[in-house]
Amino acid sequence: MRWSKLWILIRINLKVTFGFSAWLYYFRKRDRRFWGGLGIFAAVLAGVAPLFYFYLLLLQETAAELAGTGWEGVIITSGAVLASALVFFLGLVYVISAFYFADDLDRLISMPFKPAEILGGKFFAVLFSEYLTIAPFFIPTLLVYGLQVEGGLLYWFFAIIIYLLLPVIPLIIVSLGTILLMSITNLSRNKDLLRILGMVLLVVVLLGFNYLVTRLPEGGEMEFMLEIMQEPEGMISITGRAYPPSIWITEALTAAGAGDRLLNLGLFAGVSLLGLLGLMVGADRLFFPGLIGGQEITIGGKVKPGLLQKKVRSRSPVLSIALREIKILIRVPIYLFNSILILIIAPVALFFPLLLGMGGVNIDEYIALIEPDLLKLGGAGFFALLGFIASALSSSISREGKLFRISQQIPVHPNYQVLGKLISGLLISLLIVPIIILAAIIIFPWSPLDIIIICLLGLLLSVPLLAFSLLIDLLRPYFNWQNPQQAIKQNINVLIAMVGGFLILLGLGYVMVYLLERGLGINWIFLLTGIGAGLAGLIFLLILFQVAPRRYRDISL
Amino acid sequence: MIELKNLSKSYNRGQIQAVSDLDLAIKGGEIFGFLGPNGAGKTTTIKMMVGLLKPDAGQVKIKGFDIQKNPLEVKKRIGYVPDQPDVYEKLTGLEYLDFMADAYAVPLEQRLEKMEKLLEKFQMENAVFDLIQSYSHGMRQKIVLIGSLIPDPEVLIIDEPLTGLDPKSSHIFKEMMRSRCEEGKIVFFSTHILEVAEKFCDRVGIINKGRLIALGTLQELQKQAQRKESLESIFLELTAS
Repeated sequence: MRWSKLWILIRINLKVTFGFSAWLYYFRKRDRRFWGGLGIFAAVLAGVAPLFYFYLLLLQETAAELAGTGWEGVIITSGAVLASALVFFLGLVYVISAFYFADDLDRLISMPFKPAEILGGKFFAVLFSEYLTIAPFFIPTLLVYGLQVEGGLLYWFFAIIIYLLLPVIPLIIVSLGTILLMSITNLSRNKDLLRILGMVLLVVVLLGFNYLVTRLPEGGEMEFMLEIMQEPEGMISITGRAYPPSIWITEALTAAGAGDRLLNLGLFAGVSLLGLLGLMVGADRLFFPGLIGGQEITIGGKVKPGLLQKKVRSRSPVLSIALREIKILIRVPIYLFNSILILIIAPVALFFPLLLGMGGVNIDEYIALIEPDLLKLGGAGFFALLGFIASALSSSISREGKLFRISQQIPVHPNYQVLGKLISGLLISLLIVPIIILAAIIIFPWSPLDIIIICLLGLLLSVPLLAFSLLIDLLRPYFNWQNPQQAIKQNINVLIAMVGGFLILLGLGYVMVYLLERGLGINWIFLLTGIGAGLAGLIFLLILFQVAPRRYRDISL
Repeated sequence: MIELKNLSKSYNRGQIQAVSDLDLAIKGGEIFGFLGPNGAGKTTTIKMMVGLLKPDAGQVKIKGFDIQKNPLEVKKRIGYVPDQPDVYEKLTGLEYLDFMADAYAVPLEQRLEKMEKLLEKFQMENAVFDLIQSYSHGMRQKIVLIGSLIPDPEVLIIDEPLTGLDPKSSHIFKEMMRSRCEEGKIVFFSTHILEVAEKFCDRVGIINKGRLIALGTLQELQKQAQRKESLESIFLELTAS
């Protein structure tokens, strides 16, 4: 490992990932993209500010309630666990994309860099992204606790170090898992498929591990809970069992003596640095075997006569565009994971712990408390919610990248093109149907007719949300990505569409609940919701049709 | 017929004039070579012709249709091959060709006939079933070229057509272009390879710093230049300033 080389690669990766040079260029040239970008950033900040405010209030209230109980440190532990979990799950996709699918890798391999240096450069770029990801969750916990206990200079100094070190360990674990997975799967012919399965397996293992370490001992739940309540450190030790570094972080910031604090900080920093060293050693051995030839695919030999006639199909341009979208989504592992597999992973992650009775909650008893009609409406809402968080449409234009040129060049009216994209989004949403059926079999008391109504209503609700997502991306596409991952994860349109879509859904939900409480029959509510969703969909579609021809004409790559 | 009238385009709020007051008319049955040094404005002009860039001023008309007013009518009549053969890597060659044929509404029989003929000519009949990701640069160029030829466009606009093609494909390409012209169609291409332009084009236009500085057949250009030798020396003389 040569530090000067690593530094060169870290700098270039940061410039490329965050577009520092581009922003500086726009600023110097007084390009409107600088102020436009800044404006969008400010608008998103303003959009999430209320949520952030409520989070801060919640933290302050929790801190006030915990004051004097000896449990004050729980806030820090929870914040650290939440932030680390975020790094874990988001990092998995970030890492695989930055390490193996970045555009510059081919050039870097041919240059005189060691594998660990190339991987190190990428690792630090991902690490910086994670600082931004965890900032809104972890910094408030540090602030609230620090202000509550009136932490001195040492507290704030340690807090900064801990913030900088926090994503390191989870990111190292994810990175090591990824380079191991990639080097093993690179030997296979079906490497893309294996890699997707590997990613899913990693998520399942993480969920399973989380379940195992946090589950309550069978038969002794009450005693266990009492034990936690009686021992001030009980709650922390429970959380810490899931992720030991969270204990070191808590102790480094909350322990009574300076010596204890320093010891825990030293332990946390030491393990982080050791992990980094391990990653670099692992990278030197495993990175290139997983990377070189990673993009190779099997080429078929001579084909049978008549195959062309058999395979060529004539379709309408709209359907052809919808199929193009779906084929590409399925064949790019990062897109498949973010836009399709997430439809399965998200409900599993949400309901799996509840089903297993984690946290002492009995799902059947809980469901029995909810009004059955409300539950059905919730099901339809969940259907629509899943469809748009999958981000297939909020990054649909951006994902085309420089190939948007083809969409501009073909003689297909832009309105047909956006319609094709919308259909692809709805087809993907249909994947939620089996999830709803499964949920009806395992958890919810829904009849086949209920399932049909829920799915139809969910699909109708998806139309305005998907059209809105597509509209956002059409208005401000992000084409300058270096790897497919950036097209989704560094695309602010995905966030804007999620916040906007969530607000639309919340608004519709509020109206539904209001009508239900006013005694309107459920069938009427279903009908009115369907009509409302249909109308909202039509409005967004009309706006899309107004905007698309202009955008397809004016966007210059 | 291609008509460019007072076509202009600038970047950076007018600080860089990429194309300035360009007038050009190309009639049916002509192979037109568009030459110029790097950054002269060739690709910008081509992008405006195919609707990928909006001109600041002026007009592009193809077969009587204005690209700004009737973009779809123009796009139906042109085939465009860009300088970089970027295509959907995760589609197979056949899926890409089928997609292009769907976009241009090419009937099934016509697309099959064209595909069979073109794939065989460019020796892509086996590779067409593989993902484009596995193609070499030249194969990608061939698949883009085939995709643009399947709708049998009246005007073919090609940016740097021969870069990356092997000698055999290059020969086939030139033959096909010539036969298209004999059918009264137009081939408009930009190139750096002056020998190709010299032997292959009916007329040549030379653009420098966004302005058309020479236009005509090789003989006409030789008359304009002081050193009446090859196109290369004419080109160097005209673009020296």
